[in-house]
Amino acid sequence: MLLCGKSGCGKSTVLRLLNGMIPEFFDGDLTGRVRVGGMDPTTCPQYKVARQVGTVFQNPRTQFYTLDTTSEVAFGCENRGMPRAEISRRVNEAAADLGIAALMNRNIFHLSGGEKQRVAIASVYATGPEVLLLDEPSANLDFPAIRELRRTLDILRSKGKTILIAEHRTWYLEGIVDRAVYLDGGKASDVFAMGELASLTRSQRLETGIRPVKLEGFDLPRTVAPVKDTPMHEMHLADLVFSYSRHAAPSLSVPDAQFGSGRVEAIVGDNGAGKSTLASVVCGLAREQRGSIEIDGAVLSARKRLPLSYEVMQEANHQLFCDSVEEEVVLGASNPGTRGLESVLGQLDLLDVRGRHPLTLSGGQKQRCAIAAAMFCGKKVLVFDEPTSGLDYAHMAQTATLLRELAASGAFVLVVTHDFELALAACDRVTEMKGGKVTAQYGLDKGGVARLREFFGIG
Amino acid sequence: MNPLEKLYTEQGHNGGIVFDPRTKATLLVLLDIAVFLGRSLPYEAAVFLVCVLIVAVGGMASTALRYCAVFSLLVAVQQLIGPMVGQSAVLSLVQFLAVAVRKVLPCLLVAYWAVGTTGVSEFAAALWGSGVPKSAIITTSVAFRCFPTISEEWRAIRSAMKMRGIGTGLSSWLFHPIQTIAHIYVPLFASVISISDELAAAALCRGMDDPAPHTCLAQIGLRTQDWLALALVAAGTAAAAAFAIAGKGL
Amino acid sequence: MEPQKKSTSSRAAISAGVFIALYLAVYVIIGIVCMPVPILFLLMPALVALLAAPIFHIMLARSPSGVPIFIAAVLPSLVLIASGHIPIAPAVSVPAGIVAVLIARAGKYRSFAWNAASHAVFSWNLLGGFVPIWFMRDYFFQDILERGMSSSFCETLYALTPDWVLPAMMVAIVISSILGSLIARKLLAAKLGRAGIL
Repeated sequence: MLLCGKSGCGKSTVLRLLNGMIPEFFDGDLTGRVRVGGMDPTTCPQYKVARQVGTVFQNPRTQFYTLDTTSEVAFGCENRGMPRAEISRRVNEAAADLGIAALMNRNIFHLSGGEKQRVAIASVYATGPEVLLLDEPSANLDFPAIRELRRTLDILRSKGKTILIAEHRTWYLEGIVDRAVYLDGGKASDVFAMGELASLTRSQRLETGIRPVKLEGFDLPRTVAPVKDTPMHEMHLADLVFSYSRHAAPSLSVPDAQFGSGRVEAIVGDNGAGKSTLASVVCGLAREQRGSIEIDGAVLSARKRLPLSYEVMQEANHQLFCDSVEEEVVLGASNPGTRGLESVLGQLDLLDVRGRHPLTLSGGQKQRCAIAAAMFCGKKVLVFDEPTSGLDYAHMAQTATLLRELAASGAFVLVVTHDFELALAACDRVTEMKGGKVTAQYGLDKGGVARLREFFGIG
Repeated sequence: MNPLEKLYTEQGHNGGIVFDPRTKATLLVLLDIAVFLGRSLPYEAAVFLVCVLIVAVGGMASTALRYCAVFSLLVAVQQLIGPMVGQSAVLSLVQFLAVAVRKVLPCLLVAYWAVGTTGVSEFAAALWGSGVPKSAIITTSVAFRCFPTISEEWRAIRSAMKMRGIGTGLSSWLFHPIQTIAHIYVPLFASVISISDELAAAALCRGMDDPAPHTCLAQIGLRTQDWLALALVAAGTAAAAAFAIAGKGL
Repeated sequence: MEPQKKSTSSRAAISAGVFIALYLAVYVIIGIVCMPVPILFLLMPALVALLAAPIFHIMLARSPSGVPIFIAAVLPSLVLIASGHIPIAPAVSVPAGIVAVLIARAGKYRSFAWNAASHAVFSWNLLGGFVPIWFMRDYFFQDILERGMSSSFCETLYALTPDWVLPAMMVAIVISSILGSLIARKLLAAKLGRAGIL
């Protein structure tokens, strides 16, 4: 079963009710009753709920408790005090059933996002719960990993488990999900069969926030056609080489690549293809070992690039330092002027919250606050790391518009993304990466779209 | 390799006799005491050989051999320059270092072996097995688990500060120390607290609070070889201690 | 409610673990910065005490108990051992940890003054890594003096690491620890409170 709806519609609340996190972790008023497997998770002790209901959380960074995969899968069984032989049997069984035997006995920090997600599912599966809850399992995954996730979910389904997924992305769930419950403002307002979800129109989608089921028939029209004319400014990467340690093979090696200002440039590739490394080097956070980056023919060293660039990180909390939105935006600017401040805040829809503490804002507002700071400081190169992971359709469309506006102001806008929908909606050009190398750069005209689709393996 | 990284690599068994982590810890303490109970070179060499033997039997024979070579080298250096020490400060320093390193070599070897052959899960199992309170085990294992995560957070926050031109350099520490601390700690605490909440939610949802007695997948236990090694080393240390107390320094 | 109470304690234990990891990270980072410069090297425990004080206070606010204090005091010395240091540091850190726990307990882990005092003592655990300088020196001198060697070199060595350095370090740690506690209270508590973190 799929739970869908806009960000903040109450999907997570439903999951938290079912796994007993409410009222254990979150306070609030509760009326009515919840029943899972014959018990009420809101009054039952947490460990009893845990025996019936397994939860896979969204953030792979924090859902692991141990350091290696085998102990992770064993963790739940150990807590329940199963005998050693039984734990060992269950760990092997979970690994075999879910096809992750090759991942056993590995350091968790060395796994990719998709592998982590499958280990997380296995660790829940090993204790044998009847009900599995998954909170946006695809949020941080690339395309191959999402397909792996789909296979795993299919296996779980064939084992007769009840699966409840809260998710914005729906395309990978076709054929797995039987019913979709649409939540709006905390109420379950509609129940769809999967086929019905596919036939939603664009305006219904904007209203409901449900992402398309079929990426083939993607229908978000662009507000502007892809920019094709020669850009005002050009960034040229020549013979760029970077590696994290002197002995390791280079993590990034780009003989030749261009980016143009005034365009939205998508950087795509699987996890580990070097996208983030490229972003760090372009921003001057990491210094290239060889090669150069030029803007309009002038070579800029990492030290000179740093003050010009800004990376909007996935975790917005990391880049908010001040007591109020206003201070935050002004911080680090050389000559703060009131007029500029007003217009930047207005442009990013932050006027209402200008006095609030940035850390108390919603996720999207935090992101916009970070962007506002970058704009106010007059940054010329803006890099976005997965700006739409975990966003619903409407918010994704909003981000797409924002990216277009930023590009229109003449900045270099680089977007690292796995989000095909975002790429189509906002980007002008695509840079494909593989194994630390830029394998292709092309405009997103009709041919380009087909090429990108092929790269992502869609359709 | 970063010495800390050693802690985070899961250890496979390397052919040697397997000792319980508790045995390793006790051996380490006993041998440390033993080293400082006597002062003569033969005694020191004897203690060192015991350490070498344990480590070699415990599956790190080549490391033990390497340490043997270092030990011999240090003894040779000391014997060679010993007679000339009075003449130059440099030679005295060299001798001082040679003796200092030699004295700690046995402990280093055993510590290296104990860490190198113990997996984190085995270590946790040993903690559960020795009746350490549950909350202490949770706290310790989370501290180890989170150290790499926190280091990542720290790097991300530093990058963010650099991009904003908020100095983390020396001048900002000298001229605006309090502001600098605030700029680092506010985002750091925010992320640390969210990590701890998410981790707790994940752990509780997987039954960490289950009152059933905790069991462990990693197999540990005191077997014959543990008792044997402990008994021999304890007896040796006790004998050395007896000599030391009786005033007959070894 | 009984079960509720139980998970709260596990939560506190996890929270404490994360803060101890943060403490270790601060310790390692300052260590890396200070290692190469001899004077900074001797100042390192004081710097750690200054910067770790806020962590210590917030850790106790989230997890008021003696267990994390003790673990935080002992872990750095275990890390020292694991990274190839002489295994003598626990001889300092264990007593420092125990005394720190007793002091904080006097204020039920919730009194700022007692916790600050506790942190001052707690920070002495860092001296464990420095004790060998004196310990080994005396051991060595005894050794060579017995063999009847000239004592001029010994005097030079004594001059490099005079005995007063150790008490001076202890005092420096206490002062900077208290300074750190005051910063934690004045500045961070307000800022974090506004951020809705505390």
